[in-house]
Amino acid sequence: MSVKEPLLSVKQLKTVFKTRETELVAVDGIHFDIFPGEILGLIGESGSGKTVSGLSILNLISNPGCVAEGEILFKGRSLLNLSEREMREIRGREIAYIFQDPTTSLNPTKTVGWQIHHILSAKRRNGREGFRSGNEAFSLKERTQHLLADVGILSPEKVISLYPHNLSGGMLQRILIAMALGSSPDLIIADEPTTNLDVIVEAQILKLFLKLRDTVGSAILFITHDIGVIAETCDRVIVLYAGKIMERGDIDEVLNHPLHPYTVGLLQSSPRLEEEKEKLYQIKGELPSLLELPKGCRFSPRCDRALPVCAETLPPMIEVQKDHFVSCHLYV
Amino acid sequence: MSLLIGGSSSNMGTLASQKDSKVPKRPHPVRLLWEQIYQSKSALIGFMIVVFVFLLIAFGSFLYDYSPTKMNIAEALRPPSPAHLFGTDSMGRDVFTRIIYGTRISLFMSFSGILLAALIGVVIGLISGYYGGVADNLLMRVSDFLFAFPSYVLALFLMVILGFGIQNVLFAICLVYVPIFSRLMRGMTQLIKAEQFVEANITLGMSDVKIMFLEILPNAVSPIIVQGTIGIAFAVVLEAGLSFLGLGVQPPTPSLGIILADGKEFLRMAPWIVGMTGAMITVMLLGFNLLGDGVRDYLDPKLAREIRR
Repeated sequence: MSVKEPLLSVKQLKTVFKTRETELVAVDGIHFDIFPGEILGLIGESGSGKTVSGLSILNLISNPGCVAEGEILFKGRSLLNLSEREMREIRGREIAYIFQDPTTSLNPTKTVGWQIHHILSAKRRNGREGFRSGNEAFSLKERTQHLLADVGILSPEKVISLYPHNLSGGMLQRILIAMALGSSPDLIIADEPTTNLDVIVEAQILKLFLKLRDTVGSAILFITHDIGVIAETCDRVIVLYAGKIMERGDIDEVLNHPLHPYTVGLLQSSPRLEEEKEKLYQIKGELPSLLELPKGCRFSPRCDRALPVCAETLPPMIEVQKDHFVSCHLYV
Repeated sequence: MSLLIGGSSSNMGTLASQKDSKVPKRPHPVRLLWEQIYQSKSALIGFMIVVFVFLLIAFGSFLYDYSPTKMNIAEALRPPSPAHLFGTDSMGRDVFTRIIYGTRISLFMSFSGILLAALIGVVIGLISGYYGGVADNLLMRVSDFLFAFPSYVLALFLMVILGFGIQNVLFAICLVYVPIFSRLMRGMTQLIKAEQFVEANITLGMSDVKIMFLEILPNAVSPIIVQGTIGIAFAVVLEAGLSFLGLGVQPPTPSLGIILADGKEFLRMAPWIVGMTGAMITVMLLGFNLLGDGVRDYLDPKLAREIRR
């Protein structure tokens, strides 16, 4: 791992939303790397800053929000300093974003084929003729069909002439993934791509992501609130709470030996097949409002094991084991 | 590095059912529109009136061999008869022929005026709604300014500045309608811009121009069309009014307003001149409005259901 250059490295990212009275810090000092071909999970509750982190990478935080501090390096280039025009070149070509709700992410007035075709023709990549490399030259229409076949759609020639309302959520999500893959991006940011899908379709889509990582070699930043999804797909995981990283490390390490009380709580509150429980564990309280964040550790008011120091000072990031970091006073 | 079609289908075996599912073929939109018109009585009547008016102005001039402008004082102020279906005016010109030519000119002006206004208004509305900020403020204040005048006052004012004549009437109609279209388009743009597929296109790195014209515009077409059909009917009245006041089309060119203005002097002696012209305007407007309602029902079924309730 250490030999490889990270594809994307986010350094001390701080994204704020300005209101008339105050400044809300949605993402506070997030720090992580993604290596080529890796799937990194970003897990957290609603409002913990997952989506804001994802959009910050693409420089898509719009007024009144902005990236206040930090640096985002993609293949050594700082994304935050690029012009809108340069950024547009990167979006969809080198970094693709997949949205949460597939049913609203496609234009209702155009056929699916038109939309993929449109993206492909706009995002033709020099030297890399789309998804399939090699000497074979495909027309755009053929490539559209191949892309759809690659995301597991069995009759692409029929599907391309359909409108989004003709298709189910799972099919639409496949189409969106196909659109994202159109230019073989180096990084795919998937923002809760399976949240609105049923369990069976979810499993298929997750399998598809794994397959894509193996075949296309794209790195994936997987944003979700479902720890089960993380367990199935990711190589490494970041636990986010109220805009701060609580814990990060290898997936097996974090799931089997969670260190932060918040991670422990999350794991205990998700049902498991092998155990029988009358009642699921519940983390007491709720996510603090960004208007009144606790002074010390963000999680301290809800923490069972909180020490006096927790309410006073922010805990540092500590490497407890190799590549397993936690931000908690218990491990200082 | 490449994915194989075979590989993916074996992995995704559970999707086998999707191959068999047949999607019903969508009927052609024109056929759907016709069905909608056919189902609603008022739209059908409107459609028939509009078709009738178009046939009349296209072929009506072949019925009689009269010139719309050539005077024949010997035949002046004849009441309707088989020789002159709508009678003759004070100059002995056949009123029927003049109405046909007049309607052609009036409709041409209102059509092209509205079309031009729609084109300009759509572009302004897209820019204004999409970018917001200073551009939006500037464009919308200008349109507020134009809105502040009643449309006739604005049109009159323009005619006085620009001078009379067919093309200036067209500009006046256009200018009255540009703010209406741009307001409409701005609202639609703001609404559609908030949709996730627009955001998805931004994250895919689409250019602003492509997003505006290929993603947002197709979703805003229906209200624009409805506004356009209603606008054409009103523009006919606007043109007739301007010409009636002597500010629009200049005699001897016939337009509906000119015929009315000519006829008003002889209202007592020859009521058919004003009567027939007025009837033509009324019937035509009725047709356009009824058809416009039908088209709106077709393009916006949700709204139609609410209205019927």
